[in-house]
Amino acid sequence: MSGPLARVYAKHLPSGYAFFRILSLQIQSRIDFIRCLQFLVNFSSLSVIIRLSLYNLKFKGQGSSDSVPSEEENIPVMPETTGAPKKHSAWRSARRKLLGALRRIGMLILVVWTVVSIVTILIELVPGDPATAILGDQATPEQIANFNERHGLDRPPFFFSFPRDENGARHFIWHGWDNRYVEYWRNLLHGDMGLSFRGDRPVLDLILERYPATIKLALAAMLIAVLISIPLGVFAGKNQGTLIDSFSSVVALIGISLPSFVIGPLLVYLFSVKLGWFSASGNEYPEDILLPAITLGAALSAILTRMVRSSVIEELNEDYVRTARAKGLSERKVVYKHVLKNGLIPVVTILGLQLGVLLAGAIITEKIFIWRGIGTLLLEEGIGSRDYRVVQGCVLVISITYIGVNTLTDVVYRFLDPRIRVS
Amino acid sequence: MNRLAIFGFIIVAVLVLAAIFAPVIARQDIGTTHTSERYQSPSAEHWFGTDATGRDVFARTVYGARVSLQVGFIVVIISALVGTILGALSGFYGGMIDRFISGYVFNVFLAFPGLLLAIALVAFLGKGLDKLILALCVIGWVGYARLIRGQVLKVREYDFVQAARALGAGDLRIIVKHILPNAIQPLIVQASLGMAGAVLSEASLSFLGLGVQEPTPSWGKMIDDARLAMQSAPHALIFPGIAIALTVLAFNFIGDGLREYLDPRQRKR
Repeated sequence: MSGPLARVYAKHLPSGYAFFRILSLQIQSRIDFIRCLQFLVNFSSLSVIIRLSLYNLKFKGQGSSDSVPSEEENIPVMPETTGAPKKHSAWRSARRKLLGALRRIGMLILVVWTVVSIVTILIELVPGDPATAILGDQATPEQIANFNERHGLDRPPFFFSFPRDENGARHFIWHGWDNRYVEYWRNLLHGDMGLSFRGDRPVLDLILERYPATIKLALAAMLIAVLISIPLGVFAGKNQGTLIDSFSSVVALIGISLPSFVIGPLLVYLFSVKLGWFSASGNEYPEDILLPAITLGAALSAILTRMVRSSVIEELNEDYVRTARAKGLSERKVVYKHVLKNGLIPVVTILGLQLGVLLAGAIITEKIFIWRGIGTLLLEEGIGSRDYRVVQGCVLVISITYIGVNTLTDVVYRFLDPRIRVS
Repeated sequence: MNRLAIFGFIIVAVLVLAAIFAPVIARQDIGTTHTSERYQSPSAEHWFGTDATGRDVFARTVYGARVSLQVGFIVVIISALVGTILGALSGFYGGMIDRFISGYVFNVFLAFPGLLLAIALVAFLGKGLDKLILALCVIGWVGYARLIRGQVLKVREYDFVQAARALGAGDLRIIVKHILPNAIQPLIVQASLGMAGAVLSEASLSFLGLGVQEPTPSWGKMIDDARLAMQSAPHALIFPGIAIALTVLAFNFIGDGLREYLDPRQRKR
């Protein structure tokens, strides 16, 4: 997996994406995969703690005037308590922030636990019996029993259940710890997502085979969106109200309102059927990524263009721009060195949040271009052939990635913009 | 109101009329296939041409508006209702309830990116219009709940709420009579934008084969059917595509227009 793909990455992505290269390519075994997840969680939580404590030590003398005032802090400080207690209050606020960070991490763990549990329990909602759905009506009881045992379906689904007896009354039955839910968790923590119902391949292997292609597609889409939206947005914001501005608004509106499953086939029609520049589907050659990436990135570039535009307009009215202009900087320098630096902060957040959305949106794009990523795995091998184990694995991996990226974005945002450090 | 919002209102009015009077507007049969009339270009008889099985694209596009708007309205109403109730409870009572709903439940629902939860729900529950609506409500309500919670947090500190409480009004009366009417404006904006989102999500799920089933016409499904025959019949894809784009655009225009209208501070953007 690492050889040819790594070269493709090295060729097509700037070095700034090193982290994601680590994430997607160094995954050679399950252990590495688990380590990556651990790294993600640890990195985000540790950095919050370290940064918050450093931040507090640095601003110890200033008390907590920089944080968003809570009800406690609004109590006016008596003049005579400005000496020693100040240090005390700095400590207290440091402790409060640390507790806040810990609470966030606790909540993160709780959310991840719930997400995994929901995905685990969703499989119990499947109408009918997975075994008959997979094996067909002609399957012998032996085959069904065999199948259920292999996939752990012979165990009770949860700790307890309320089955009906012959009189129609419900009874509470405690099944103990030997149930599917516990089993799934235990396997998951050992890096095992079970065997696929069809073909009996480990689901994790299937996902690791296909996920890099999806991550590659999402990153390429993001790159294209950035390359389109930042110049267009800056240009539109600088020339507010001109023809160029209206043009960029129209482009943005089309991007927002045309869904990817309309843009995709139209691009295929234009560039592969009519012009014959690219192949209509597949991901064999490096240039095959272009059409899917544009399709996937269209909506994002529309959103980003609007954001960059309003951000630039807002920043251009700030005092520091007047200062920069007054000291004789060229307009180009004002825009690219000052305005863009501040204006891009919200854009970075949106980029982080949108990476997860892109991963989910990739499901549609992958279907259009028959791109062999996790989306086609989910749709064809999973939902299409009713292999619920695969569906479970795909949904889980995409959501965990989404949570990880969001947490990371949150941390990065706090680094970039001190104003919202405590909220 | 700005011109774009009026444009949006006109489009939506046309769509609603088309959906209601679909049998009058489109007299062609939407279900039966005519293999001899496949891939016909737009003509006087078939305004939008015919698709891969010889069905009239115009009739199916008009009937598709029924499904889209129906799903959109139901999803927006249910999720706005659920979101308002939970958001108001969370914002009004605060404390543990708020911590549970806004800190935990919101985050769990936001932990699934976009359509993924809907796809997963439909995949496990099975296909069908009712399950599609359920799935879209499950992913939709959080937005309304967060919005209403924020509004309630803001409004409940106002003096008239304190006055109502001092006069002995109960919690329910304060929420329904005093707080919600003041929090409703952004809800209308959100609902309009939510319509755009719901129509788009319905089309996406139908495109993935997880939404409305044959023979009911849905724009997403029509596009999925047409894209493999792009070479011989691009019109079968383009017309439902335009229909989706116009619908989404119209609701977005209305939402943006209402936001500007209701919040004068934003008018100069």
